[in-house]
Amino acid sequence: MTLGLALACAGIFIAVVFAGIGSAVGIGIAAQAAAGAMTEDPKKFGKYLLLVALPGTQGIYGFVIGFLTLLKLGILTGNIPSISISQGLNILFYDAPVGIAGLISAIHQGKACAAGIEMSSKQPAEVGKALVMAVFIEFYAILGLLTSFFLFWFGIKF
Amino acid sequence: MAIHKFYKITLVGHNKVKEEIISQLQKAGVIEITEVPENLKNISQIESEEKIIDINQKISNLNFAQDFINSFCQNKKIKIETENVIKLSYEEYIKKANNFNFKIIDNLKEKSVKLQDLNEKINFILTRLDELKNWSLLKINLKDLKLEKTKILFGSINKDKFEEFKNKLSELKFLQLDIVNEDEEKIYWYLIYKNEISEKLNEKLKEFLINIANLNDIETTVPEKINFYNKELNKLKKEVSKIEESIKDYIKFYNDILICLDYLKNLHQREEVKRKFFITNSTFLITGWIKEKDIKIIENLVKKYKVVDYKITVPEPDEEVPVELSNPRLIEPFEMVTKLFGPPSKKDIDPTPFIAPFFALFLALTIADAGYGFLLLSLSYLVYKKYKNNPGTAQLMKLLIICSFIAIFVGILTGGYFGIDFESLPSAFKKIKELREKLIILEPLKDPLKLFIFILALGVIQVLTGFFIKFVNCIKYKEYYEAFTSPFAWIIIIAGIIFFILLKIKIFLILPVIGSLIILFFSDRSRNIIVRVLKGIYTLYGITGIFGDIVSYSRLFALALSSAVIASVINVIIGILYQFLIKFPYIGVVLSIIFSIVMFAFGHIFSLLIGTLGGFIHTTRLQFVEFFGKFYEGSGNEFKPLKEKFNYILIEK
Repeated sequence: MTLGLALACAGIFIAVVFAGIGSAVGIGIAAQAAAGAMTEDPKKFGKYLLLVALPGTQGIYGFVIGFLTLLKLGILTGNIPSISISQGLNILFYDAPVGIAGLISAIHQGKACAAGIEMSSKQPAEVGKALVMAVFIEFYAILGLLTSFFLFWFGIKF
Repeated sequence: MAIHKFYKITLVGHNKVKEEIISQLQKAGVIEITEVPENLKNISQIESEEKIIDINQKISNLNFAQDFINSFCQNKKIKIETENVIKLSYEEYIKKANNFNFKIIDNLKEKSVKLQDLNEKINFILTRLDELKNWSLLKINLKDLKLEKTKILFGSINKDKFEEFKNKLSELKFLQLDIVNEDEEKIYWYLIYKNEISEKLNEKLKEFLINIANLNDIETTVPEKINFYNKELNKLKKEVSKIEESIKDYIKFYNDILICLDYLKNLHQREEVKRKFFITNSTFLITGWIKEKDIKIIENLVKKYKVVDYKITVPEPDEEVPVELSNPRLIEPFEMVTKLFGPPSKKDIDPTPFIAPFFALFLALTIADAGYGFLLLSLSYLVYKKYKNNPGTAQLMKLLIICSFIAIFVGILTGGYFGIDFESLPSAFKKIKELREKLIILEPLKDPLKLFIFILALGVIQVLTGFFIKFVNCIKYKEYYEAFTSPFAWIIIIAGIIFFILLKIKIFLILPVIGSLIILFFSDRSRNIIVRVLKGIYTLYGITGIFGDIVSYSRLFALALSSAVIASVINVIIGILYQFLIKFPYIGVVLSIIFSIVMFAFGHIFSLLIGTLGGFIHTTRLQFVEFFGKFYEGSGNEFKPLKEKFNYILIEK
């Protein structure tokens, strides 16, 4: 494996692992709040499900970019092109936005979701509003995804 | 247009027909009963609480019976023979509810208490047996060991500590330590000692982690006691199964319990609503809201009684009138989105017809796959079939059905079919490939920038629509100044910029300039020109917000992209596993085909659910923040008529 390819793989690593960590932590926070709220009324499981699942999307975004990079590098087909160090560094930076934006936004979204769960345990009709507030945070993960995607799509040329 | 007109209704009658009238009104379900004015309320007679307390008691009893039978059948794996809903005629419903025998519930309660009692006893014996099993080698009669000058102690200690324990105890006189039994972890022993050393012994024992066994209550040998417990256990278990057998006779009342529950809940609602009445010694008075088209129903109802009359009045302009949305069938499911935000307030129009096309298109764009659209269509149709009687679920499913039709359409135009990579298909599929190519106008993964721009263009259209609705609304309420300085100015700013970008004709740049000037000088009405301009600058700064709103639509692109990629990931994984599995001798072909099919089904259903979840939330958010933010307040009160509600039954007409 050349250094260039290693750097490109580090890019995939950042995209998938960082965003994944964010989602895992975020869902963890929200799930704890939901479990706590369900001690009073287990029937609300369906209502809380959405709020718990919401921070999971960042991990998916990270995976999308990671997978597209995998495809482009030809790792799945075995025809790996030779990648110079600067190309590798490029790919590393292309993949970074979605990973880092996902990492931080998912954790904060998890907290917002936890607060939303607490709110809807007392005001069951307002679960929609709690969702909308938590979705505000998601947008910045999406911007990270878009930036990574466009950098990657129009940037990588072998 | 799509909001009903409401009138105020006042209804008076003699007390002797009060109950009948309430029942009739509930059955008709056309009046929302409001509190009578405060000054009348103070002199009204107060209904006794006893009836409500009694009803509540009965409801909680029925709930108990329902849960009890449910969990009993679940534990015993008995299927309760009940349909999703119980269908019966209105007369049957009333008759069954009135004839319900509450003795059933008393019996069930009695049985539940008995069962609990028996289970406690069984648990006690089981823990006791568990303790005793380690001492079963102790074949002395324990009664004989109870002497005056000595005491006896039974206990266990971890094996590795036993030597130390033994040595420590050997320092003391007047005691004897014997091993009874040992297992993998522990040694079970007993200790006989003279009374006078008990203090010293306790000191020593404190240094070790020992478990003292409580065998003091045993007056026989341990095996005998175990035998006794086992007999006792058998007896108790027989009793339990006898009671359980008798409970089975009650399962057939399950439907009646549900019917009675529905009846009592409606009765409870009637009793609750009486608190809003004005009641004197011989008359009662109801105030409420009614739709124009329903007045006829009340007229017919009142005609039947000599001692009842009503009056219809037009609401005062400043009164908070309830809202009920009414839309054509195709748009109606989208009312749930409006209601999620809040029903329209007095000045608002019903936004449902405006959000419907955007919502459906946006959700379809996030799916953007004909295969997924078809999958969503079938799944939501199945759920709809099952939960037809639950209005909330049914409405959501109808919405998804509409959206999935559009998703199929969008999928065909973008060439997405379960994320299959058509280029890698064998040449046998050439015809299909050609057909697909013909239908495509835009392929997201090949030409992402075009789709991105298309989605932002949709965003511009929706933002402009929002401002336009605001403009029309202002004109309607004769707020001309507001109409031209706010929505109109923004519309010409956005439109001018768009035209300039599209047509590259400089003359269009005059529109944003005019718009900006209007906002700069006229958006604030204060006399002081400096304050005016400063506030104008601040308002003009809001252009960044509008830019943000439009960029915000890019989330649709991101969601479309990620669902397309996830779909192709599933196919790639299936491909890799197929290549791997087919190499197995003999069973390879069967194995790989079965595995591929299962993986295809589960993988794509999972991907669809995740994708639709995200798509739904984000599409809703776009309506609430980017669209409603321009023109909609949503602080109205929903029309909540006094109406019969059924959770378990369906009245057949």
